[in-house]
Amino acid sequence: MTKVKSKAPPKLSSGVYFDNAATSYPKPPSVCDAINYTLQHVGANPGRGENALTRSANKIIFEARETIAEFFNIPNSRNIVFTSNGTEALNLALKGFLKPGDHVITSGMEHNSVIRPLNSLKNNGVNVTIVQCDKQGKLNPDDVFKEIKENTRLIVITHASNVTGTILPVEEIGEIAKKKGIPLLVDAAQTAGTIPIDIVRNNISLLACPGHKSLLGPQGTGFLYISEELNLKPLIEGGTGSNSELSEQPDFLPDRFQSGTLNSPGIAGLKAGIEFINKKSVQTIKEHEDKLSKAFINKLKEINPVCIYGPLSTKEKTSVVSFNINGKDSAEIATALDEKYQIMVRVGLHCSPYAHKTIGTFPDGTIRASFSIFNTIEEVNYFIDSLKEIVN
Amino acid sequence: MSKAIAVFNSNHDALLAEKLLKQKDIRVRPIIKPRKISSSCTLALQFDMELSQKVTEICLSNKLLLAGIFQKRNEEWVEV
Repeated sequence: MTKVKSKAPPKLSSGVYFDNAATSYPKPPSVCDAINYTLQHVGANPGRGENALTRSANKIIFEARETIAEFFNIPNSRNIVFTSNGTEALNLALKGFLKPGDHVITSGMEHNSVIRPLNSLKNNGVNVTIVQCDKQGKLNPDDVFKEIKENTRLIVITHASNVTGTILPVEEIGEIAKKKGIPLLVDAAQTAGTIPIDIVRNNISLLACPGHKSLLGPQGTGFLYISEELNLKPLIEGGTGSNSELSEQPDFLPDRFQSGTLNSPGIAGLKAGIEFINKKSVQTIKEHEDKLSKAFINKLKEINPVCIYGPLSTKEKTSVVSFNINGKDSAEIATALDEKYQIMVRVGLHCSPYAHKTIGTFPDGTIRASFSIFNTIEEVNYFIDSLKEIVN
Repeated sequence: MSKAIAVFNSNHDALLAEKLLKQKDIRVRPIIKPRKISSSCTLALQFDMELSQKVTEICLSNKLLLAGIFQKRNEEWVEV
């Protein structure tokens, strides 16, 4: 296919990137600078020994934890465990907490990062209930309440769907969890950085976050917040720099779950990402992304015959828009967008087969566009014009 | 002036203590945790001995994992 270079908006030399729900791109320059600085000037291993460089590395890790704690209103930064992504955080929470005989409730909009560990736990004697959502991916908190049993030990829900952007009622479910004394695990992969999350107010006992999506950090970063009241089993054990004389894993946080050398450059980048968000404000970022989503949806509606999935109101969703053009193969459209117009979207099941079953798009999936603070209205217009050309 | 050191179970708590103590205008110096006290690679905080009660109070009120306050007497580390 011939590239239509003259039509590409000038923002990014690499094209128009609308796959921020998978990982955000570009990153703020301050994130790149923090990573580069750490690699070049703070090369030591944090928590291992005590010299000038180790102290600097320790400080980066400590300050990153403090920055995260403040951002999510986490009472003690000690309760933040760094992971390599959101999936690792979810695996630690689920496999570290649930035992054979336990019952866990989840939603019909979950990503495989929740579904697959739960399926594995199911084979080990954990009972799993998936509460159905409606066609737009909305979850009724009463349906969660109805499924609570005597042995329900955990409720796990995504804060927002990575397929439709539908925001799930975390606050209401947090109330239910608190009332029934059941810990709530929230997968904030699609919301951390664009929707305010308050651990205390939302009664969240476990929060799993990737660092590389809306928190604007690099890939290879993430974290799990673990409430002081929960007793989890570590999945990885080894050197922590503490209690080195003992063969047993330390019993205190974060060291209990923090074995092996940390990704200091990545964590420095994650801290810089959150600082960038703090400067802009979560609200400003959400407003910008809402503006793009609204324009995108309104223009998309003009294309016939288009089917848009999930809620259309930006009050009920993140900046993720899934759609299909009836009668057209979504993969062919995505390929044309990529090859001919340098527009990058995601097509298929987005690692969330349950969500696609819920909205009725399994197994074909959808075309998904997802925006970030760095996208522009010009890019949205360019996308729509390009799509119209492809469809016609 | 006689010095004491505060020893913590984890580096995280040592760094949090350093931050909290500095906020209270208590001068601390991060040092390598003496081998005679622990073989861990974590750091310790050195400060003026006369402030040991205040340091203990701040650490405990913030639920820090304080392993102890130590002073060197005749080449031996003694918990105070």
